[in-house]
Amino acid sequence: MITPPTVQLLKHPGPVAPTRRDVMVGKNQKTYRITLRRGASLYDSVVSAMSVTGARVAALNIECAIFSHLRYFLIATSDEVEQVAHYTTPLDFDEPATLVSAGATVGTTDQGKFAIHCHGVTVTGSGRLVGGHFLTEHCILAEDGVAYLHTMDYMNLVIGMDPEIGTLVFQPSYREALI
Amino acid sequence: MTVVEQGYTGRIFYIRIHPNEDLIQSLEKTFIESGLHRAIVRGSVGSLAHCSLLRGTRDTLELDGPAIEIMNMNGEIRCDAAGNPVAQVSGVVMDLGGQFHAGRFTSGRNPACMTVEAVLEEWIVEKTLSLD
Repeated sequence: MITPPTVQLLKHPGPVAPTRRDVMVGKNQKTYRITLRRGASLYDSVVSAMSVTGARVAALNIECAIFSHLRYFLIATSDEVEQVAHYTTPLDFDEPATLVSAGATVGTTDQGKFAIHCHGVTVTGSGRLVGGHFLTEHCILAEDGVAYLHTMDYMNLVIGMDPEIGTLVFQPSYREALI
Repeated sequence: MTVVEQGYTGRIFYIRIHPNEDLIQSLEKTFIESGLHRAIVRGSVGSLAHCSLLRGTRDTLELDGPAIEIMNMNGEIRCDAAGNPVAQVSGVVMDLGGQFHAGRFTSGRNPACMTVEAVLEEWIVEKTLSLD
């Protein structure tokens, strides 16, 4: 039997948080089918829908989309950066790109503005795979697309600094019910 | 044998997995702690310090980090015959060179890098339909 090599674990720059897994139960969850509008950004389409639902947190499943423009980050490492990993400068792609797969969560910034954490991979006309961490404000739909929002109530998902990794990430917490 | 279950979705869970915690085992722990019997893994994102993907039935691809991006993942968690949770989750990842890879995430070999966000949705079985 061949023993696989040991899995590499990481030492992050900050103190290790005692909580290793946050589990939040959504309440009053609802599912919405939304249209991603041709010519609009992915961000604007999703935020418009979130505003209509009144929800502040959602899991987003993009079922079909063709983009005319993509802007995205790749992940990188550098000895000159304290964090274990960081994003590259934004990359732009100006050809039609068909979405193959994407995952996303919707929350807010600490100023209350909607924020979307979205990773995705697309395929171009030549068959090249293009994608990464999407900057959704600059990902423009070439034609109408479809997504499903699974909204979660009684929960906040706010971007905040994680001291352990030294990076801004979504931080979940419960909130009081709005009556 | 084909099994047809009639059911509906129940509770929905948002999970944030912290660095160095295993993706699959974290999902399985959440599943058993929450008293779930079936769960659907919805679209999820994050990064891994190391990535191990099962391709086909026996071959695994090992990708060294320290940062592998999860593009998306989907799957299901259910209990085996002994009542232990088993997560079968597949996805697409991107390595540090910008290359994409796909497969089923193996248990114990996919530690989170910065953060992993996952969403579980409970699947509640009303009845199992007979195919007789």
